[in-house]
Amino acid sequence: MASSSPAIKDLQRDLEAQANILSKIQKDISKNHQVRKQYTIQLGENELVLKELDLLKEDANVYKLIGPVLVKQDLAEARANVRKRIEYISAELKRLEGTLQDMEDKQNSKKESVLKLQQKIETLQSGKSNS
Amino acid sequence: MAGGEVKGSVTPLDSDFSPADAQKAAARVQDSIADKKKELARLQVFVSDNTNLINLVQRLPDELSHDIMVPFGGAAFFPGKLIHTNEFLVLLGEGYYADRTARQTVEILKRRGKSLESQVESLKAVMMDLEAEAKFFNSTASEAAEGFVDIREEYVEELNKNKPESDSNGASTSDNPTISTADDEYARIMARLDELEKEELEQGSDSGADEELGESEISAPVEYDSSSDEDEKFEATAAFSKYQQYLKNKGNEILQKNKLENTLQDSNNEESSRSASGKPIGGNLQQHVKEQSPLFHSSISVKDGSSASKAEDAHVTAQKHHLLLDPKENLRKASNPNIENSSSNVGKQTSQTGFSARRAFTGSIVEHDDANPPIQSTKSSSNQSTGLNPAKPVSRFKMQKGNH
Repeated sequence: MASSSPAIKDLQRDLEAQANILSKIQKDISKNHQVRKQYTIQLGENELVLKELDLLKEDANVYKLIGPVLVKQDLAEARANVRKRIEYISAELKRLEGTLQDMEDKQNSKKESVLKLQQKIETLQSGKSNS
Repeated sequence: MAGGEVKGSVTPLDSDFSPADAQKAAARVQDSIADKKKELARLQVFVSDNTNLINLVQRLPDELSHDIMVPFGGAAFFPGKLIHTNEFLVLLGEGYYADRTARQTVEILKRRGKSLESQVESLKAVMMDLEAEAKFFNSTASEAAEGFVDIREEYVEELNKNKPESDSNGASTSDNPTISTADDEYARIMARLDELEKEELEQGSDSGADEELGESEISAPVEYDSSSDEDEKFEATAAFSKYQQYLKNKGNEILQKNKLENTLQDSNNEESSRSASGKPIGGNLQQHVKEQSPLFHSSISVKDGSSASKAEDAHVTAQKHHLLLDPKENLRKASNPNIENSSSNVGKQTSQTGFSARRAFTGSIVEHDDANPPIQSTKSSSNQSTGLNPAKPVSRFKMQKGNH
Protein backbone atom coordinates (compact mmCIF):
# COMPACT_ATOMS: atom_id res chain seq x y z
CA MET A 1 0.00 0.00 0.00
CA ALA A 2 2.81 2.33 0.81
CA SER A 3 4.48 1.43 -2.46
CA SER A 4 1.37 1.95 -4.58
CA SER A 5 0.45 5.41 -3.41
CA PRO A 6 3.49 7.21 -4.87
CA ALA A 7 2.84 5.43 -8.13
CA ILE A 8 -0.70 6.70 -8.08
CA LYS A 9 0.52 10.18 -7.36
CA ASP A 10 2.85 10.01 -10.30
CA LEU A 11 0.09 8.84 -12.52
CA GLN A 12 -2.21 11.56 -11.32
CA ARG A 13 0.39 14.21 -12.04
CA ASP A 14 0.84 12.71 -15.46
CA LEU A 15 -2.88 12.73 -16.01
CA GLU A 16 -3.12 16.36 -15.05
CA ALA A 17 -0.38 17.33 -17.47
CA GLN A 18 -2.03 15.39 -20.27
CA ALA A 19 -5.40 16.92 -19.50
CA ASN A 20 -3.84 20.37 -19.66
CA ILE A 21 -2.36 19.67 -23.06
CA LEU A 22 -5.68 18.33 -24.21
CA SER A 23 -7.57 21.40 -23.11
CA LYS A 24 -4.98 23.58 -24.84
CA ILE A 25 -5.48 21.71 -28.05
CA GLN A 26 -9.20 22.07 -27.72
CA LYS A 27 -8.82 25.79 -27.25
CA ASP A 28 -6.70 25.97 -30.36
CA ILE A 29 -9.31 24.08 -32.28
CA SER A 30 -12.07 26.43 -31.25
CA LYS A 31 -9.88 29.38 -32.18
CA ASN A 32 -9.26 27.80 -35.53
CA HIS A 33 -12.99 27.41 -35.98
CA GLN A 34 -13.57 31.06 -35.30
CA VAL A 35 -10.89 32.21 -37.71
CA ARG A 36 -12.23 29.90 -40.34
CA LYS A 37 -15.72 31.23 -39.86
CA GLN A 38 -14.45 34.77 -40.34
CA TYR A 39 -12.61 33.82 -43.50
CA THR A 40 -15.63 32.06 -44.90
CA ILE A 41 -17.72 35.16 -44.38
CA GLN A 42 -15.09 37.29 -46.08
CA LEU A 43 -14.91 34.87 -48.94
CA GLY A 44 -18.64 35.11 -49.44
CA GLU A 45 -18.52 38.88 -49.41
CA ASN A 46 -15.67 38.99 -51.89
CA GLU A 47 -17.47 36.70 -54.22
CA LEU A 48 -20.49 38.97 -54.10
CA VAL A 49 -18.28 41.96 -54.88
CA LEU A 50 -16.68 40.19 -57.79
CA LYS A 51 -20.08 39.28 -59.17
CA GLU A 52 -21.20 42.88 -58.99
CA LEU A 53 -17.96 44.16 -60.51
CA ASP A 54 -18.31 41.74 -63.37
CA LEU A 55 -21.80 43.04 -64.00
CA LEU A 56 -20.60 46.63 -64.25
CA LYS A 57 -19.97 48.22 -67.60
CA GLU A 58 -16.42 49.14 -68.50
CA ASP A 59 -17.01 52.87 -68.17
CA ALA A 60 -18.45 52.67 -64.66
CA ASN A 61 -16.75 54.59 -61.90
CA VAL A 62 -15.41 52.40 -59.12
CA TYR A 63 -14.02 53.71 -55.87
CA LYS A 64 -12.18 52.05 -53.08
CA LEU A 65 -12.50 53.24 -49.52
CA ILE A 66 -8.99 53.73 -48.19
CA GLY A 67 -9.05 55.10 -44.71
CA PRO A 68 -11.43 58.04 -44.72
CA VAL A 69 -11.31 58.77 -48.45
CA LEU A 70 -12.70 57.22 -51.55
CA VAL A 71 -10.04 56.65 -54.17
CA LYS A 72 -11.07 56.20 -57.75
CA GLN A 73 -9.94 52.92 -59.20
CA ASP A 74 -9.76 51.34 -62.57
CA LEU A 75 -12.47 48.75 -62.96
CA ALA A 76 -10.09 46.13 -64.33
CA GLU A 77 -7.72 46.77 -61.48
CA ALA A 78 -10.48 46.44 -58.94
CA ARG A 79 -11.55 43.12 -60.45
CA ALA A 80 -7.99 41.81 -60.39
CA ASN A 81 -7.62 42.88 -56.77
CA VAL A 82 -10.77 41.16 -55.70
CA ARG A 83 -9.83 37.99 -57.55
CA LYS A 84 -6.47 37.95 -55.87
CA ARG A 85 -8.09 38.42 -52.53
CA ILE A 86 -10.44 35.52 -53.15
CA GLU A 87 -7.50 33.34 -54.08
CA TYR A 88 -5.67 34.33 -50.94
CA ILE A 89 -8.66 33.63 -48.72
CA SER A 90 -9.26 30.25 -50.32
CA ALA A 91 -5.63 29.28 -49.79
CA GLU A 92 -5.85 30.42 -46.20
CA LEU A 93 -8.99 28.40 -45.65
CA LYS A 94 -7.33 25.33 -47.05
CA ARG A 95 -4.35 25.83 -44.77
CA LEU A 96 -6.60 26.22 -41.75
CA GLU A 97 -8.41 23.06 -42.71
CA GLY A 98 -5.12 21.19 -42.74
CA THR A 99 -4.08 22.45 -39.34
CA LEU A 100 -7.49 21.65 -37.98
CA GLN A 101 -7.13 18.07 -39.15
CA ASP A 102 -3.75 17.88 -37.47
CA MET A 103 -5.09 19.25 -34.25
CA GLU A 104 -8.02 16.89 -34.25
CA ASP A 105 -5.69 13.94 -34.66
CA LYS A 106 -3.60 15.20 -31.81
CA GLN A 107 -6.68 15.73 -29.71
CA ASN A 108 -7.86 12.19 -30.28
CA SER A 109 -4.54 10.66 -29.37
CA LYS A 110 -4.37 12.81 -26.26
CA LYS A 111 -7.88 11.80 -25.32
CA GLU A 112 -6.90 8.19 -25.59
CA SER A 113 -3.84 8.60 -23.43
CA VAL A 114 -5.85 10.45 -20.82
CA LEU A 115 -8.40 7.68 -20.81
CA LYS A 116 -5.70 5.07 -20.42
CA LEU A 117 -4.19 6.94 -17.53
CA GLN A 118 -7.55 7.19 -15.86
CA GLN A 119 -8.10 3.48 -16.21
CA LYS A 120 -4.67 2.75 -14.82
CA ILE A 121 -5.35 4.89 -11.79
CA GLU A 122 -8.69 3.26 -11.30
CA THR A 123 -7.31 -0.23 -11.40
CA LEU A 124 -4.53 0.75 -9.03
CA GLN A 125 -6.97 2.30 -6.64
CA SER A 126 -9.36 -0.62 -6.75
CA GLY A 127 -6.46 -2.97 -6.17
CA LYS A 128 -5.51 -0.90 -3.20
CA SER A 129 -8.94 -0.96 -1.69
CA ASN A 130 -9.14 -4.71 -2.18
CA SER A 131 -5.88 -5.44 -0.46
CA MET B 1 -26.72 -27.21 -31.24
CA ALA B 2 -24.96 -24.25 -29.84
CA GLY B 3 -28.05 -23.41 -27.90
CA GLY B 4 -26.51 -22.61 -24.57
CA GLU B 5 -23.86 -20.30 -25.89
CA VAL B 6 -24.21 -16.74 -24.75
CA LYS B 7 -24.35 -14.65 -27.85
CA GLY B 8 -25.08 -11.16 -26.88
CA SER B 9 -25.77 -8.77 -24.10
CA VAL B 10 -28.78 -6.98 -22.81
CA THR B 11 -28.32 -3.79 -20.95
CA PRO B 12 -30.94 -1.43 -19.69
CA LEU B 13 -30.96 1.66 -21.80
CA ASP B 14 -30.55 3.94 -18.84
CA SER B 15 -27.16 2.49 -18.05
CA ASP B 16 -25.90 3.61 -21.45
CA PHE B 17 -27.79 6.85 -21.61
CA SER B 18 -28.83 8.04 -18.26
CA PRO B 19 -31.95 10.18 -18.41
CA ALA B 20 -30.08 13.07 -16.87
CA ASP B 21 -27.40 12.93 -19.53
CA ALA B 22 -29.88 12.71 -22.33
CA GLN B 23 -31.74 15.64 -20.95
CA LYS B 24 -28.52 17.60 -20.71
CA ALA B 25 -27.80 16.85 -24.31
CA ALA B 26 -31.29 17.94 -25.25
CA ALA B 27 -30.77 21.18 -23.35
CA ARG B 28 -27.55 21.82 -25.22
CA VAL B 29 -29.27 21.30 -28.54
CA GLN B 30 -31.98 23.66 -27.40
CA ASP B 31 -29.32 26.25 -26.69
CA SER B 32 -27.93 26.02 -30.17
CA ILE B 33 -31.44 26.25 -31.54
CA ALA B 34 -31.89 29.48 -29.62
CA ASP B 35 -28.63 30.77 -31.12
CA LYS B 36 -29.82 29.97 -34.59
CA LYS B 37 -33.12 31.65 -33.88
CA LYS B 38 -31.31 34.83 -32.97
CA GLU B 39 -29.30 34.67 -36.14
CA LEU B 40 -32.44 34.09 -38.12
CA ALA B 41 -34.05 37.16 -36.56
CA ARG B 42 -30.98 39.19 -37.48
CA LEU B 43 -31.13 38.01 -41.07
CA GLN B 44 -34.79 38.78 -41.26
CA VAL B 45 -34.06 42.33 -40.11
CA PHE B 46 -31.56 42.55 -42.95
CA VAL B 47 -34.14 41.34 -45.41
CA SER B 48 -36.73 43.87 -44.34
CA ASP B 49 -34.10 46.66 -44.38
CA ASN B 50 -33.19 45.66 -47.86
CA THR B 51 -36.75 45.73 -49.15
CA ASN B 52 -37.29 49.13 -47.52
CA LEU B 53 -34.17 50.44 -49.18
CA ILE B 54 -35.31 49.12 -52.55
CA ASN B 55 -38.60 50.98 -52.15
CA LEU B 56 -36.82 54.19 -51.23
CA VAL B 57 -34.34 53.99 -54.08
CA GLN B 58 -37.15 53.34 -56.51
CA ARG B 59 -39.04 56.43 -55.35
CA LEU B 60 -36.12 58.84 -55.20
CA PRO B 61 -35.64 59.57 -58.92
CA ASP B 62 -39.35 60.32 -59.28
CA GLU B 63 -38.54 63.94 -58.46
CA LEU B 64 -35.63 66.06 -59.62
CA SER B 65 -35.03 67.19 -56.04
CA HIS B 66 -36.42 66.48 -52.58
CA ASP B 67 -36.85 68.89 -49.72
CA ILE B 68 -35.47 67.20 -46.63
CA MET B 69 -34.22 67.94 -43.16
CA VAL B 70 -30.52 67.18 -43.10
CA PRO B 71 -29.27 65.69 -39.86
CA PHE B 72 -26.52 67.80 -38.33
CA GLY B 73 -24.70 66.11 -35.52
CA GLY B 74 -26.76 63.86 -33.35
CA ALA B 75 -29.47 66.26 -32.29
CA ALA B 76 -29.87 69.02 -34.87
CA PHE B 77 -31.37 69.26 -38.34
CA PHE B 78 -31.37 71.92 -40.98
CA PRO B 79 -33.46 72.20 -44.11
CA GLY B 80 -31.84 71.08 -47.31
CA LYS B 81 -32.43 69.64 -50.71
CA LEU B 82 -31.63 66.30 -52.28
CA ILE B 83 -30.40 66.77 -55.83
CA HIS B 84 -28.94 64.34 -58.33
CA THR B 85 -31.62 61.92 -57.27
CA ASN B 86 -30.63 59.40 -59.87
CA GLU B 87 -27.00 59.03 -58.84
CA PHE B 88 -25.99 56.56 -56.20
CA LEU B 89 -22.68 55.53 -54.80
CA VAL B 90 -23.28 51.92 -53.87
CA LEU B 91 -21.12 49.96 -51.48
CA LEU B 92 -20.40 46.63 -53.09
CA GLY B 93 -18.58 45.27 -50.08
CA GLU B 94 -14.93 45.03 -49.05
CA GLY B 95 -14.56 48.81 -49.39
CA TYR B 96 -15.49 48.94 -53.07
CA TYR B 97 -18.00 51.52 -54.23
CA ALA B 98 -19.52 52.08 -57.63
CA ASP B 99 -21.46 54.92 -59.23
CA ARG B 100 -24.86 53.63 -60.18
CA THR B 101 -28.23 54.90 -61.31
CA ALA B 102 -31.35 54.21 -59.31
CA ARG B 103 -32.39 51.37 -61.56
CA GLN B 104 -29.00 49.72 -61.42
CA THR B 105 -28.93 50.14 -57.67
CA VAL B 106 -32.25 48.41 -57.36
CA GLU B 107 -30.88 45.50 -59.36
CA ILE B 108 -27.89 45.21 -57.05
CA LEU B 109 -30.13 45.35 -54.02
CA LYS B 110 -32.41 42.69 -55.41
CA ARG B 111 -29.48 40.36 -55.98
CA ARG B 112 -28.40 40.98 -52.45
CA GLY B 113 -31.89 40.21 -51.23
CA LYS B 114 -31.80 36.90 -53.05
CA SER B 115 -28.60 35.83 -51.34
CA LEU B 116 -30.13 36.83 -48.03
CA GLU B 117 -33.15 34.68 -48.75
CA SER B 118 -31.00 31.67 -49.47
CA GLN B 119 -29.17 32.23 -46.22
CA VAL B 120 -32.46 32.33 -44.37
CA GLU B 121 -33.52 29.10 -46.03
CA SER B 122 -30.37 27.25 -45.09
CA LEU B 123 -30.62 28.52 -41.54
CA LYS B 124 -34.16 27.25 -41.31
CA ALA B 125 -33.07 23.83 -42.55
CA VAL B 126 -30.35 23.72 -39.93
CA MET B 127 -32.90 24.60 -37.29
CA MET B 128 -35.19 21.80 -38.40
CA ASP B 129 -32.30 19.39 -38.07
CA LEU B 130 -31.52 20.59 -34.61
CA GLU B 131 -35.10 20.32 -33.54
CA ALA B 132 -35.26 16.74 -34.71
CA GLU B 133 -32.11 16.07 -32.76
CA ALA B 134 -33.58 17.60 -29.64
CA LYS B 135 -36.65 15.46 -30.03
CA PHE B 136 -34.47 12.40 -30.27
CA PHE B 137 -32.63 13.25 -27.12
CA ASN B 138 -35.85 13.81 -25.29
CA SER B 139 -37.33 10.53 -26.41
CA THR B 140 -34.13 8.77 -25.45
CA ALA B 141 -34.35 10.32 -22.03
CA SER B 142 -37.92 9.21 -21.54
CA GLU B 143 -37.20 5.74 -22.86
CA ALA B 144 -34.25 5.35 -20.56
CA ALA B 145 -36.41 6.49 -17.71
CA GLU B 146 -39.09 3.99 -18.61
CA GLY B 147 -36.60 1.16 -18.56
CA PHE B 148 -36.15 0.14 -22.17
CA VAL B 149 -33.34 -2.29 -22.79
CA ASP B 150 -30.61 -2.34 -25.37
CA ILE B 151 -30.04 -5.74 -26.93
CA ARG B 152 -26.79 -6.32 -28.67
CA GLU B 153 -25.26 -9.34 -30.26
CA GLU B 154 -22.00 -9.77 -32.11
CA TYR B 155 -22.42 -10.68 -35.72
CA VAL B 156 -20.55 -13.90 -36.25
CA GLU B 157 -19.94 -14.54 -39.87
CA GLU B 158 -21.31 -17.89 -40.87
CA LEU B 159 -18.96 -20.16 -42.72
CA ASN B 160 -21.52 -22.57 -44.10
CA LYS B 161 -24.06 -22.10 -46.81
CA ASN B 162 -26.17 -19.79 -44.77
CA LYS B 163 -23.91 -16.89 -45.51
CA PRO B 164 -25.75 -15.47 -48.50
CA GLU B 165 -28.97 -15.86 -46.63
CA SER B 166 -27.86 -13.93 -43.67
CA ASP B 167 -26.60 -11.29 -46.01
CA SER B 168 -29.87 -10.98 -47.75
CA ASN B 169 -31.57 -10.94 -44.42
CA GLY B 170 -29.46 -8.07 -43.30
CA ALA B 171 -30.51 -6.26 -46.40
CA SER B 172 -34.07 -7.18 -45.81
CA THR B 173 -34.25 -5.07 -42.72
CA SER B 174 -34.79 -2.38 -45.28
CA ASP B 175 -37.77 -4.29 -46.61
CA ASN B 176 -35.98 -6.09 -49.32
CA PRO B 177 -38.01 -9.15 -50.18
CA THR B 178 -36.09 -12.36 -50.65
CA ILE B 179 -38.83 -14.79 -51.32
CA SER B 180 -37.68 -16.28 -54.57
CA THR B 181 -36.25 -19.44 -53.09
CA ALA B 182 -39.13 -19.93 -50.70
CA ASP B 183 -40.29 -23.22 -52.14
CA ASP B 184 -36.90 -24.85 -52.06
CA GLU B 185 -36.46 -23.60 -48.59
CA TYR B 186 -39.81 -24.99 -47.63
CA ALA B 187 -38.81 -28.45 -48.73
CA ARG B 188 -35.58 -28.20 -46.85
CA ILE B 189 -37.31 -26.95 -43.78
CA MET B 190 -39.66 -29.87 -43.78
CA ALA B 191 -36.79 -32.32 -44.17
CA ARG B 192 -34.97 -30.67 -41.37
CA LEU B 193 -38.05 -30.72 -39.22
CA ASP B 194 -38.39 -34.45 -39.59
CA GLU B 195 -34.82 -34.87 -38.55
CA LEU B 196 -35.33 -32.71 -35.56
CA GLU B 197 -38.40 -34.54 -34.56
CA LYS B 198 -36.48 -37.79 -34.53
CA GLU B 199 -33.79 -36.22 -32.51
CA GLU B 200 -36.24 -35.00 -30.00
CA LEU B 201 -37.89 -38.33 -29.65
CA GLU B 202 -34.53 -39.82 -28.95
CA GLN B 203 -33.59 -37.25 -26.48
CA GLY B 204 -36.81 -37.73 -24.66
CA SER B 205 -37.94 -35.62 -21.81
CA ASP B 206 -34.85 -35.43 -19.67
CA SER B 207 -32.80 -32.99 -21.68
CA GLY B 208 -35.12 -30.10 -21.15
CA ALA B 209 -32.78 -27.98 -19.15
CA ASP B 210 -29.42 -28.88 -20.53
CA GLU B 211 -29.80 -26.54 -23.42
CA GLU B 212 -30.16 -23.62 -21.17
CA LEU B 213 -27.42 -22.20 -19.13
CA GLY B 214 -27.62 -22.60 -15.43
CA GLU B 215 -27.81 -18.90 -15.04
CA SER B 216 -31.11 -18.60 -16.80
CA GLU B 217 -34.16 -17.56 -14.96
CA ILE B 218 -35.72 -19.03 -11.90
CA SER B 219 -39.02 -19.77 -13.46
CA ALA B 220 -37.59 -21.49 -16.48
CA PRO B 221 -36.80 -24.82 -14.82
CA VAL B 222 -40.32 -25.00 -13.59
CA GLU B 223 -41.49 -24.78 -17.10
CA TYR B 224 -39.12 -27.38 -18.32
CA ASP B 225 -40.33 -29.88 -15.80
CA SER B 226 -43.92 -29.34 -16.54
CA SER B 227 -43.35 -29.40 -20.23
CA SER B 228 -41.82 -32.81 -20.12
CA ASP B 229 -44.35 -34.33 -17.75
CA GLU B 230 -47.69 -32.99 -18.62
CA ASP B 231 -50.02 -32.67 -21.46
CA GLU B 232 -48.83 -29.94 -23.70
CA LYS B 233 -51.75 -27.64 -23.50
CA PHE B 234 -52.16 -28.00 -19.85
CA GLU B 235 -48.49 -27.58 -19.32
CA ALA B 236 -48.55 -24.41 -21.27
CA THR B 237 -51.23 -22.88 -19.18
CA ALA B 238 -49.63 -24.06 -16.00
CA ALA B 239 -46.30 -22.69 -17.00
CA PHE B 240 -47.95 -19.57 -18.02
CA SER B 241 -49.77 -19.08 -14.77
CA LYS B 242 -46.59 -19.76 -12.88
CA TYR B 243 -44.93 -17.26 -15.04
CA GLN B 244 -47.57 -14.76 -14.30
CA GLN B 245 -47.25 -15.27 -10.63
CA TYR B 246 -43.59 -14.88 -10.89
CA LEU B 247 -44.06 -11.73 -12.80
CA LYS B 248 -46.58 -10.41 -10.43
CA ASN B 249 -44.07 -10.69 -7.71
CA LYS B 250 -42.12 -8.04 -9.45
CA GLY B 251 -44.29 -5.15 -10.42
CA ASN B 252 -41.52 -3.62 -12.38
CA GLU B 253 -41.30 -6.62 -14.58
CA ILE B 254 -44.94 -6.52 -15.26
CA LEU B 255 -44.63 -2.99 -16.35
CA GLN B 256 -41.94 -4.04 -18.68
CA LYS B 257 -44.03 -6.84 -19.96
CA ASN B 258 -46.94 -4.64 -20.75
CA LYS B 259 -44.74 -2.32 -22.64
CA LEU B 260 -43.32 -5.10 -24.65
CA GLU B 261 -46.75 -6.39 -25.29
CA ASN B 262 -47.66 -3.14 -26.82
CA THR B 263 -44.65 -3.36 -28.98
CA LEU B 264 -45.67 -6.81 -29.97
CA GLN B 265 -49.13 -5.65 -30.80
CA ASP B 266 -47.74 -3.03 -33.07
CA SER B 267 -45.40 -5.41 -34.70
CA ASN B 268 -48.25 -7.79 -35.21
CA ASN B 269 -50.09 -5.22 -37.20
CA GLU B 270 -47.11 -4.45 -39.28
CA GLU B 271 -46.13 -7.98 -39.67
CA SER B 272 -47.37 -8.62 -43.13
CA SER B 273 -45.77 -5.51 -44.52
CA ARG B 274 -42.60 -6.27 -42.75
CA SER B 275 -42.58 -9.91 -43.43
CA ALA B 276 -39.49 -9.78 -45.54
CA SER B 277 -37.41 -8.74 -42.61
CA GLY B 278 -38.25 -11.73 -40.55
CA LYS B 279 -38.48 -14.32 -43.21
CA PRO B 280 -36.47 -17.20 -41.99
CA ILE B 281 -35.78 -19.48 -44.87
CA GLY B 282 -32.82 -21.38 -43.62
CA GLY B 283 -33.37 -25.08 -43.30
CA ASN B 284 -30.86 -25.34 -40.54
CA LEU B 285 -31.36 -24.74 -36.93
CA GLN B 286 -28.25 -22.84 -36.20
CA GLN B 287 -28.74 -20.94 -39.32
CA HIS B 288 -31.92 -19.64 -37.98
CA VAL B 289 -30.30 -18.55 -34.87
CA LYS B 290 -27.70 -16.82 -36.88
CA GLU B 291 -30.26 -15.23 -39.04
CA GLN B 292 -31.10 -13.07 -36.21
CA SER B 293 -27.66 -11.75 -36.08
CA PRO B 294 -27.84 -9.45 -39.08
CA LEU B 295 -30.30 -7.44 -37.14
CA PHE B 296 -28.01 -7.28 -34.24
CA HIS B 297 -25.27 -6.59 -36.59
CA SER B 298 -27.02 -3.61 -38.00
CA SER B 299 -27.35 -2.10 -34.61
CA ILE B 300 -23.81 -2.90 -33.74
CA SER B 301 -22.27 -1.46 -36.80
CA VAL B 302 -23.98 1.77 -36.07
CA LYS B 303 -22.71 1.60 -32.56
CA ASP B 304 -19.18 1.15 -33.73
CA GLY B 305 -19.34 4.23 -35.85
CA SER B 306 -20.71 6.32 -33.05
CA SER B 307 -18.18 8.67 -31.68
CA ALA B 308 -19.87 11.94 -32.26
CA SER B 309 -23.14 12.65 -30.64
CA LYS B 310 -24.86 12.57 -33.97
CA ALA B 311 -23.82 9.06 -34.52
CA GLU B 312 -25.03 8.25 -31.10
CA ASP B 313 -28.26 9.62 -32.18
CA ALA B 314 -28.34 7.25 -35.06
CA HIS B 315 -27.47 4.53 -32.68
CA VAL B 316 -30.46 5.34 -30.62
CA THR B 317 -32.59 5.01 -33.67
CA ALA B 318 -31.04 1.74 -34.48
CA GLN B 319 -31.79 0.58 -31.02
CA LYS B 320 -35.34 1.62 -31.24
CA HIS B 321 -35.70 0.00 -34.53
CA HIS B 322 -34.15 -2.97 -33.08
CA LEU B 323 -36.37 -3.13 -30.09
CA LEU B 324 -39.31 -3.02 -32.36
CA LEU B 325 -37.90 -5.54 -34.72
CA ASP B 326 -36.80 -8.01 -32.21
CA PRO B 327 -40.14 -9.04 -30.81
CA LYS B 328 -41.39 -9.12 -34.31
CA GLU B 329 -38.76 -11.55 -35.17
CA ASN B 330 -39.66 -13.74 -32.31
CA LEU B 331 -43.32 -13.60 -33.09
CA ARG B 332 -42.64 -14.47 -36.63
CA LYS B 333 -40.65 -17.38 -35.57
CA ALA B 334 -43.39 -18.43 -33.28
CA SER B 335 -45.70 -18.60 -36.24
CA ASN B 336 -43.17 -20.40 -38.29
CA PRO B 337 -42.71 -24.07 -38.91
CA ASN B 338 -39.32 -23.96 -37.36
CA ILE B 339 -40.51 -23.69 -33.87
CA GLU B 340 -37.31 -25.25 -32.85
CA ASN B 341 -35.44 -22.33 -34.09
CA SER B 342 -37.55 -19.83 -32.40
CA SER B 343 -37.32 -21.78 -29.24
CA SER B 344 -33.59 -21.89 -29.40
CA ASN B 345 -33.64 -18.22 -30.08
CA VAL B 346 -35.75 -17.52 -27.12
CA GLY B 347 -33.77 -19.84 -25.00
CA LYS B 348 -30.66 -18.14 -26.09
CA GLN B 349 -32.03 -14.78 -25.34
CA THR B 350 -33.12 -15.71 -21.92
CA SER B 351 -29.84 -17.30 -21.21
CA GLN B 352 -28.05 -14.29 -22.53
CA THR B 353 -29.87 -11.96 -20.38
CA GLY B 354 -29.89 -12.74 -16.76
CA PHE B 355 -31.82 -9.53 -16.67
CA SER B 356 -35.31 -9.57 -15.38
CA ALA B 357 -36.74 -7.46 -18.15
CA ARG B 358 -35.69 -10.05 -20.63
CA ARG B 359 -37.55 -12.65 -18.73
CA ALA B 360 -40.52 -10.45 -18.82
CA PHE B 361 -39.96 -10.17 -22.48
CA THR B 362 -40.07 -13.88 -22.97
CA GLY B 363 -43.08 -13.96 -20.76
CA SER B 364 -44.79 -11.43 -22.85
CA ILE B 365 -44.39 -13.57 -25.86
CA VAL B 366 -45.93 -16.40 -23.98
CA GLU B 367 -48.84 -14.31 -23.03
CA HIS B 368 -49.34 -12.56 -26.25
CA ASP B 369 -49.27 -15.42 -28.60
CA ASP B 370 -52.33 -16.76 -26.88
CA ALA B 371 -53.80 -18.32 -29.99
CA ASN B 372 -51.41 -21.22 -29.68
CA PRO B 373 -50.26 -21.92 -26.17
CA PRO B 374 -48.78 -25.28 -27.05
CA ILE B 375 -46.25 -23.61 -29.21
CA GLN B 376 -45.41 -21.35 -26.41
CA SER B 377 -44.67 -24.25 -24.25
CA THR B 378 -42.55 -25.61 -26.98
CA LYS B 379 -40.60 -22.50 -26.97
CA SER B 380 -40.06 -22.18 -23.32
CA SER B 381 -39.29 -25.82 -22.95
CA SER B 382 -36.44 -25.33 -25.31
CA ASN B 383 -36.65 -27.64 -28.26
CA GLN B 384 -38.08 -30.51 -26.36
CA SER B 385 -41.73 -30.63 -27.23
CA THR B 386 -42.53 -33.30 -29.70
CA GLY B 387 -45.32 -34.23 -31.98
CA LEU B 388 -46.45 -30.71 -32.33
CA ASN B 389 -44.11 -29.60 -35.00
CA PRO B 390 -45.21 -31.71 -37.93
CA ALA B 391 -48.85 -30.84 -37.53
CA LYS B 392 -48.72 -27.14 -36.94
CA PRO B 393 -45.89 -25.99 -39.11
CA VAL B 394 -47.51 -26.71 -42.40
CA SER B 395 -50.47 -24.53 -41.89
CA ARG B 396 -48.36 -21.91 -40.20
CA PHE B 397 -46.02 -21.76 -43.02
CA LYS B 398 -48.80 -21.52 -45.50
CA MET B 399 -50.32 -18.78 -43.51
CA GLN B 400 -47.07 -17.00 -43.51
CA LYS B 401 -46.66 -17.48 -47.16
CA GLY B 402 -50.10 -16.12 -47.70
CA ASN B 403 -48.99 -12.97 -45.98
CA HIS B 404 -46.50 -12.15 -48.60
